[in-house]
Amino acid sequence: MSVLTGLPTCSKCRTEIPPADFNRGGFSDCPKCAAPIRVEAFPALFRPAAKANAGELVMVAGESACFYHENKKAATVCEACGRFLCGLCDCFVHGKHLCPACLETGKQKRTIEQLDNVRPLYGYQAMLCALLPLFITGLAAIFISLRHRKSPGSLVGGQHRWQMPLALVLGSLQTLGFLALFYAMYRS
Amino acid sequence: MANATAPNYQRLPGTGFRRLVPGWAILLLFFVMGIFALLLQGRRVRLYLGDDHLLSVDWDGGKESYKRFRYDDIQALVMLRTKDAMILNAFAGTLTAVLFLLAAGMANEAPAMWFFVIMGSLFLAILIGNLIAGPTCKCHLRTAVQVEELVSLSRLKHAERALELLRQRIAAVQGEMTPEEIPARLQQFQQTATAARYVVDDPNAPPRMI
Repeated sequence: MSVLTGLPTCSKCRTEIPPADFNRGGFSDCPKCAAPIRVEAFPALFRPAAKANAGELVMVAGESACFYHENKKAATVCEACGRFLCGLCDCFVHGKHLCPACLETGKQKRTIEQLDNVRPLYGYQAMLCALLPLFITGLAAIFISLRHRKSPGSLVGGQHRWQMPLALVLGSLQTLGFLALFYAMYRS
Repeated sequence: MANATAPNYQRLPGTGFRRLVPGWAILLLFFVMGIFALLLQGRRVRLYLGDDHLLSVDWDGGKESYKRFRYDDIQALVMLRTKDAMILNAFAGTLTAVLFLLAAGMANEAPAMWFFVIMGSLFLAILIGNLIAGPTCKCHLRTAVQVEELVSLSRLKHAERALELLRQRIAAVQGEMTPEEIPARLQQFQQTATAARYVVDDPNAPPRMI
């Protein structure tokens, strides 16, 4: 992904919008296609891109070096594992300096909320299975509601605690119903 | 390790869909596939205001996917007013009129008349719903490295309300920028961008990069 340069463009014809039309609080016409357009610009638009920190090289023998790059000077310490890190390896996440390994662990264990990009909604899945009468879905509802009863729910809506027990009850009823039906068919 | 804290999100108005097929195609497929045509409408998208970021949530029925945009990184919001609502109004209005006229013409054949009345009522409901929802627009959010379409802000009244709430949050982090300040800031930015990124210490030596 490259850094965008230039001013914001018209969403229709990709022509740059003149700065005189920014933050006017209403619509103005695009200079090329005359489409009504409104631009709200913020100070970050005119902020120079920050320089990436590649880490300084170790100049003196015995100087503290990065755990991952022995020829680069240590600039900070990982706040989770205590390893020395150079500017390149320092991952600053939510006010904490972390090394790439701890960052990966945090992502896998879902302990860093900012890295949590996908959340399966097991409550919805269990309820859907419980309400679909296909026999196997009843078993699936029982499995999901038991296996994932403590899994976190939606980031914005939270876990609906009632869904899992209800899916378990409905899934069990569905399974028992099908078993009774199969038994009745077998007997007849 | 950073601990997961209870997130505090405020929902922004508007719901959109990252469509697999265009909206008009779903409408036509509705007559072929019935309610199953709704399966083609794609993931539902909603926006939430967080403490330090805007959260875009895509929901596909089984899981949620999240995209975060820090208030500090948002450079601009671009809103384009579109004619989609007007086109849909014209289409639904014409069909409603035609179907009701056909129904009136078939007053002596009850089954055909009721068929056209039901079809006409369907398009009348679409027309009324579209009139209530109001004009349409397209919103884009720009950061230093991306331009993201905010598909949930497809109606002007929702977009304007959401934009106002979002603008307040961004201004609290970055500060306000009045239209009068913009030319001066732009000029300063262009000077910084074009300024020499090296110094000449010795005219007989190569320049030193800063």
